[in-house]
Amino acid sequence: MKDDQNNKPATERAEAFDSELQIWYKLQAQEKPSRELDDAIIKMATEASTVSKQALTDKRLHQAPLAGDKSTDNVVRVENSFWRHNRWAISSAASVMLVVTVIMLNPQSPEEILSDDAMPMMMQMSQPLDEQLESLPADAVDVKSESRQAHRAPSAMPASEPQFAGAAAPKMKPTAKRHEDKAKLGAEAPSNLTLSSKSLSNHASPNKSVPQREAVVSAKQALNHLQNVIDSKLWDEAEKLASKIAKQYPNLEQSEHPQHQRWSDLQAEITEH
Amino acid sequence: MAQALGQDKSTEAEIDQRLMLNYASGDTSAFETLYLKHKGGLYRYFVRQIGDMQLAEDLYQETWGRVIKSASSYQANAKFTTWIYKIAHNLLIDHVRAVKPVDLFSETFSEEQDAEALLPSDEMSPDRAMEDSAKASLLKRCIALLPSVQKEALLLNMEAGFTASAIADIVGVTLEATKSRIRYANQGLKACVMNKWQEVQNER
Repeated sequence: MKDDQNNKPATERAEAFDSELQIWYKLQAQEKPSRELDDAIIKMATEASTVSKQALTDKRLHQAPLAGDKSTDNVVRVENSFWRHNRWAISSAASVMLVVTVIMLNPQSPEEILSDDAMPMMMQMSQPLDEQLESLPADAVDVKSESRQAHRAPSAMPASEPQFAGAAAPKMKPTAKRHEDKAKLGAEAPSNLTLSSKSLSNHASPNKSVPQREAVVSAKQALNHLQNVIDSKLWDEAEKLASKIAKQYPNLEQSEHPQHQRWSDLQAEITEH
Repeated sequence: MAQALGQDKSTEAEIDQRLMLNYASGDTSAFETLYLKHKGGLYRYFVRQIGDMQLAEDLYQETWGRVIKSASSYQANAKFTTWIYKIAHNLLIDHVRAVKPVDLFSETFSEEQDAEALLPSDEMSPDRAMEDSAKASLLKRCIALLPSVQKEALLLNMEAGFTASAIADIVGVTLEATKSRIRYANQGLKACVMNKWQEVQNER
């Protein structure tokens, strides 16, 4: 036996154990698992087999009706839901709704975008605010102290507007806006400005030109409309409109009003008919 | 002769595969046959490497549990013995090698155990069979003293008849490293058994 081992090639000897060792090993390799362990493992295998058989049967039963339907083709069908099918239309509608909702929730935003403040204007260096504010009456002190902190840099503003109005703009804006609206409706209606803004507007007299100009334009528009109605020979309507204009723009009766002459002519024309 | 042996081995592998496939298709008797065929080798693979008998049995049971669980996914192109010993090796790595290596080695024979018991008695004739039996007992003790990697290579070769390349595949090392382990184990065991046998002879 030893001779056999010695006659084997070196590589083969390296891969296998000595034959004597193998004989000795087999003589003592007697350990075996206990009967209980054997039974437990075989029982485990039997149970697993039963469970898998049951599962297989269930699966076959479940798949049987489906197999009948799908046995004819091998096409893979991708389920196309309503949302997936109409995804572009739905997403467009959702976007539109979102935009409309945003606009409705912020109704003033478009007006601000179109307002005069948003228009490009020439840069002007403002006068030192301290000088302007020192000349104010005492009731405008609160505005004075705030605007001193806020506005020291050069700002963009219309050339016709007084510089001080621009400096106090952030505080006065809501009130001023209301004032503008009223000016459109009632031209020279008495102002309801707050105390501080009143004092500011009194102090800065050139500011009056702005609402007056707008009022003139509004009266002019009203007269244009009246002219159109007269041209159409709708005399009843013209009469009603004339009385309305007379109420809304009483200053048209004043001779210094730029539209006074035209207003008189149109009234005369209505009276003739 | 070698060819015939190779054919026998391939036939054995084919039988194992068929049994496993039969079990996967629901034949529990196929599993029993397979189990009886491989239970001893696999059991000793664990018992010889782990000192804790309870843990060895747990891992043995777990290995078969995994075989049962994976039966449906078993592929016939994989050799059954390679597959099951790979599972066993991985379990051994997971459960045992995380523990200190010192705790791994079972001392099958305690130091107090009397070597005289291994000797054939004076009344018995000192024939070859008795000598082999005594040396087999000494070998068991020597195996327990082997480094774990060499011991595993020995067990895989002795119990399942794996070649060096198959052992390398199961253990996950290079062929050269496996050959080296086998060579060292071979030399070490031979020397150990001879030394112990000499000691026994001297004590007589």
